[in-house]
Parts: sequence; structure tokens; C-alpha cells
Amino acid sequence: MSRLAKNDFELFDIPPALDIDLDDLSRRYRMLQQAVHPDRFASSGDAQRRIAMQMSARVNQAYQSLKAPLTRLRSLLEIAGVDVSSATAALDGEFLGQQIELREELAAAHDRIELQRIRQSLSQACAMLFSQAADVHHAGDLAGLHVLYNKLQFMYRLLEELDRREETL
Amino acid sequence: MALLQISEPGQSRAPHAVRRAAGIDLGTTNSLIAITRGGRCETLADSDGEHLLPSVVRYTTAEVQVGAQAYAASVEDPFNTVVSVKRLMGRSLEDIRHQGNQLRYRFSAQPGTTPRIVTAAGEVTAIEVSAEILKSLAQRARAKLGGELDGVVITVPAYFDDAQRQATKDAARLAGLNVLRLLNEPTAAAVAYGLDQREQGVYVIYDLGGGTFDVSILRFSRGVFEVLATAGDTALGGDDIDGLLAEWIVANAALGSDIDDRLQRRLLRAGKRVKELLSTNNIVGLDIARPDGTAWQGKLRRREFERLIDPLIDRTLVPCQRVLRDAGLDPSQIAEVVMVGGSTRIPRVRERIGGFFGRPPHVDIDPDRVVAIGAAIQADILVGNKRDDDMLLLDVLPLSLGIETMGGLMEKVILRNTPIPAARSQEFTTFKDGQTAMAIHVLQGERELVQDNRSLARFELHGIPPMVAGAARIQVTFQVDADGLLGVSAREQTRGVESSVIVKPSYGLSDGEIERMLRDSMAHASEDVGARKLREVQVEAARSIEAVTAAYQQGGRQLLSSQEQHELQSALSRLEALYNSVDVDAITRAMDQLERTAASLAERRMDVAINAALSGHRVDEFSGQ
Repeated sequence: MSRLAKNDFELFDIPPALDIDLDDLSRRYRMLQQAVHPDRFASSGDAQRRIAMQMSARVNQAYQSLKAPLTRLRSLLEIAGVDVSSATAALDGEFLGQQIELREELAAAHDRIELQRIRQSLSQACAMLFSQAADVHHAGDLAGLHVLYNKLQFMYRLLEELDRREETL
Repeated sequence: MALLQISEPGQSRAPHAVRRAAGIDLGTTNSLIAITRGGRCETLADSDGEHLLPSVVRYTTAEVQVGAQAYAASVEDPFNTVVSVKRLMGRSLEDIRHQGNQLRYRFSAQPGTTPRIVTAAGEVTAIEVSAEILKSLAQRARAKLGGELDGVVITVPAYFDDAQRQATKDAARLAGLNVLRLLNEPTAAAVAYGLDQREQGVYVIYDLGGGTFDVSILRFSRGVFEVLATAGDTALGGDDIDGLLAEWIVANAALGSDIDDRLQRRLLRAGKRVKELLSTNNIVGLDIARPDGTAWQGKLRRREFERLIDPLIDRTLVPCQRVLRDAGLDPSQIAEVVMVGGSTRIPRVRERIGGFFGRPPHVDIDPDRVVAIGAAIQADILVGNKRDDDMLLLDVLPLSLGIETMGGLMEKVILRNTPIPAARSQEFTTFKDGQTAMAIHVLQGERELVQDNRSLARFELHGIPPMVAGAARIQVTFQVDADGLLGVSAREQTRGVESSVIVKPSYGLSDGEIERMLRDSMAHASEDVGARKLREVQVEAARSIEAVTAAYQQGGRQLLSSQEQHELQSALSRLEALYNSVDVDAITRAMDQLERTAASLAERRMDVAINAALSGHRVDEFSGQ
């Protein structure tokens, strides 16, 4: 199979899982780039250089996606055939209520110390969701995994909002 | 299994064929060229023993002067002497006016086109001025190496956008140089520095030059330099300090508002001298001749100088903060802060940056030469002289790329600090029945509104099959190469029709304009355009034959069917038979044919290389298995 057609995990030759060894990932990334980067083909023909550029871009993209836990989770869902871009899993009322509270809390925060505290609690909540996702993935519960993915998307949006607030302070 | 000889790229050439390569630091204030010989790197001096070439070009009716001679004339002949041209590269007139009016040239007023400076020798663009500097430097390397250069690596600020990079590459093309790579200045510095020390870890490169500033965070590990994040300001540097000092003199010497261009250049030069002296002295005296014939004597203390420049240093701290955040690091995780660029000689800069990162910066390398040296090391590898070197530089896109969407907003397609090469696809559709063309406006920057970002180009897609509105699915792929340069291709998905893409660069020159300039420059050199074109095509064909032959020898028999081998052989012999002929078109056609035929071999070799990489083998271990 051509390497361009493989999924991110296959390209890096690691088992598809949420828990991965990030040091090993970056080691594999460097080894792959040493094999495919266009600079390794600077004195080769046009065709070889073009393919090197495509492969190198593909390796970069896969690395970016595997490195961050949310996109790694997304890749897992996509591999399993879940269309994450169009379908959204139904979220429970309790979670949505929490989101509204967090949003209000964020809007009311007016100094760095408060924002820092919110960041800490958001990070903890994300870590918990990711650890649940790892278990759910292990158990093969795709619907459950999809719900967790959507919840994490909400949390990440809050984190982005937090970044913006911090920059404008 | 039979011998599967896949060797590292570039290992096929005859062992004695050392290629001529050089690294060029094309700086705002000064430029340098360096070469590698016998494993040692050196910057090259001119006949007077000067390594730094002032980046100054003077146009007179009789000749073009470059360097010290031009610099010496810059006060008496300000309009015909172009200094700090790097600040004009890839810039519009509006951008240049925005940078402040310390430098005043006469620009020919044609809004929306590349700014042209009016000189005694006619109008010139920043690209042509830079080409003169490059030619002058390349001459040193040719003389030292005894022949034409096979390729050069030219450094650019990491924070240069697409327009500025393209302008630099165009300047090299005008100067007749084969660019192996545009290399980011901080990465070049890291190469020169890191290879010396062989220390693994995360480095900050703080590069404050004459006219540009950038800061990058790199990780160096087992020969691989990985840029984690970069930020900066391409219109901030030592020039601005000279400008501040010139303003200070104007205020203190009561020179009033009537400063002509000669006096302005004189004041800038006095400012530069004061700045340099204050790096080692605590107080410096000034003696300025006023236009009315009287003189003003004054003095400036280091403490007051530092108070003047602190706001400029503050401006560099914002990007420092941003890179740390983008790389997800805090200062304690930084192994070392490396200072590059002449302006980092100022003690106050070192002190403030040391304070920010919480450790004294590394200053014992020559900040002027380190970038050219790094470029020369990379050039030597890329041209194919250092075959077993594992060194690899992985860079990032400095500024987000995006497109204009409804309501004058920018939608980001590739985010800043994405590793390059990078490719992203986006789908568009038609909004009218039977629509066969569409325009896409490509932007670069971080802001939300189109007008706050840099307009790179407008792409027109033609050849979309006529369909009802909204039915066509046009996939547009944005590709950024290892030089940080953007390419765009488009394809209609439902019918699989390739759309043609016409690029209209917002600034910079079109291919046609470059061709014309090349012709003009050759007309001056009384060189035969046709002969030059033929020679170029022949060289390219020879290169192509060599590359494909090498690729075939290293695995062609194993990786290709006998039918494919036969096709490749015959494409090879066709080009071999033709490439010494005088028919440019026929050679070009045979070359294209060979490249097309070689594509599947290239792809399969790539697969083998990847498998080898991940199984922990070097590719050349496969020979002999």
C-alpha cells in the first residue's frame, strides 16, 4: 500500500490508541523526515523531489495530528468509520449546564490569577475526559468515544477563549 | 533476494566530483558569503580583505557600484544610493511609507505595482538591487572555488512572509544563481552553533539584525534541527536605533524640521557611530555641522542611550513571549539563548534578554558571520558533497496562510508554526449556474480582517465544467514547500477536471517581468540570450539523466516491472541522444517525458526508504542484504 493512503497510525507504524509514547512519536517523526524530506533529494530529479515534498507534508500533517490528544482521538474515530465532521453526539444536560457555568465564570474573571485558576480546573477536566476516552476506546464503545470527543471539543473552545482573554488583559 | 541497492540520496555521483556551493547571508546592513572547503567553513573577503559587504548599491549613469564604494557615496548621493534594500523586499509603497520616513527615495508612483526607485540609471526594483549584491558576493566564491557555482543557500529572516521570500528567490534568479534552499537565519545560526558544540537540547535564537528581528525556538537532537516556533518583526532592527539617535540629535542640536536628505543620511550615520561606540564606552561626544555653517557639539551617555532604546527592546519581548507560548515551553526548559545579529552587541540588549529568559545569553560567537557559516554547511550538504551526513533542518511556516471569505474576513487554511512542507485542501463551490471560473484571494497573517493581513496573490481558476450553482466541488490545495513558498493547485472533484491556476502576485514580479529583466541584463552584458537558454536546458538535462540513472541503479530492477524498466531505459536513451543538440524544445520534451516515466520509481523508492527508516535501519544498510 502506498504510504500516502495509510492512516496516521499506520504511517508511523504504531498501534492505534489514545495513550501513546510522545517521545517515541517524535523519534519516529525525525526518522521518517530523515527518509523523506525534500532536502534529502536536493540533487535528485524533479519527480523524486515532488514526491519527497508530498510525503514530507503528509508526515508533518500526521505528526501534528498524532501529537495533540484531541486530533489523535479524532483520528481514532475516523479510522473506525465515524463521521465526526457532520454528526454530533447528543450531550447530557448536566454537561451542558456545566459549560454554561464555566463560560459565565470565564466572563466574570478579571485578573490573571483567576484565569490561571480556571485554566487549571479546565486542564484537569480535560485530563479526566481523555482518561475516560482511553478506557472507552479500549472497550470498543464507539458511541461513547464520540460523546467524549464532542465534550472535549467544548472544553477546547473554552481554553481558546481563555487564551484570548489572557492576551487582552 | 538480489541486491537491493538503495543508497542515501546523493551518493551516486563519482567520488571525485566535488560541487561548488556557497552560503549567502543577504543582510539589511551587511552581506556575507561563506564556503566549505576540506571540511572547514570560511567567509570570503574581497580584495581589500573585507568580509562584510555593505548592502549598499549606487546607480550612476556610468556604472553600478556595490559595497564600500557605494556606502561611501551614500551621503552625497542619497537618491541614487540604495541602502537597507532588504526592508523594501516584497513590500508595497504603502508598506514602505508605514515603516517611517528615515529613508527617502524617489519612487515612481504606480499604485498596486512593485515599487520602483528612480535613479540616475533608470528605475530599479528592490529585487534588482538585491541581485546586484548577490552577484558581487557570488563573484568572490567563483574566484575562490575556480568556477561557476552549482548552487547556493540564501538566508532569510524566519519571519519573512511569502512575498518577501519570493522576492529573495527572484533576486537570486536575476543574479543567475541556482538556489538550493532559502534557509531561515536563526536555523542557519543554530546549525553553525549546534554542530560546533554537539549539544542536544532546546535553544532560543534571538536574532536582532540591521533591519529585521526574529526569535525562534529549536530542538536539536541526533542531527535534526526542529524549529518549534518562530515569531518576529521584519521591520525592526539596528536601523531603527540609528533613526532614534538621529531624532535625538535633531532635537538636541535644534536642527528644526527642515532636514534635507543629505543631512538625514549624515545624521543616521552619526547615530550609527554613536551606537557602536556606546557598546564599549560610557560616554560619546558628537560634533554635527548644521546646514547654516555653525556646528553643534554634544555628548550622549550610555544610560540615556539605554533609556532611548528600551522601548525598541520591549518590542522584541512580545515575540519572545509568543514563541514560548506557541512552543508550549517555559524559560526553565531552555538550554541556551543564542544571540545573533550585529545589534545584539549592544550590552543593554544582552542584559534585557538575559533577564527575560532568566540566564545570561550565549555571545561568544561572531554574530555577524554565524548565519553565513550555517548556510554554507547546509549548501555543502544539499549540493551533494556530504553524502553520509544525517543533518536535517525542519522549519515551520512563520505566518498563517488563509483565504478571503464573505464579509472581508480571513479564513485560515494553514496555521502559523505548522511544520513545512505542508499541504492542506479546501473545497469550494460555484454560486452561479454554468460558472466556469472563480477567483481566490490568498492572504498571510494572523488578523481577522482581510485588510489587516498581507495580500499575497489572487488566483483565478479556469476550466471548471459548467454545472448548476453549488454542484461543482472544487478542491483547492495549498502547498508550502521547504523554502516556505506557497503553491496552489485546483481540481473539480465530481468530473475530475484539473483547473488551471493563474497567479497574480499582489507585490513582487510576475514571471514575465523576471524574464524581461533577465533579457535586459543580458543585453547589457552583450550575452546571447538563446545560447544561455540552451546551456541552461543542457545542464538541466544532464542533471536529470544523472539523477534518474542513479535512481535506477539503486533499485530499478527490483522495484520496476520489466515493461517499466524498458520504458525508463528508452526515455533515458532518448534524452541522452538529444541533450547535446541545439533544439531547446526537443530537449525539454524528452526531459519531461523522462521525469514522468521516472515518477513511479521515485514513489516506490520512497516507500522503501520509509520502511527502512522505521525499522531502524539506515537506507544504505539494505545494500548487501
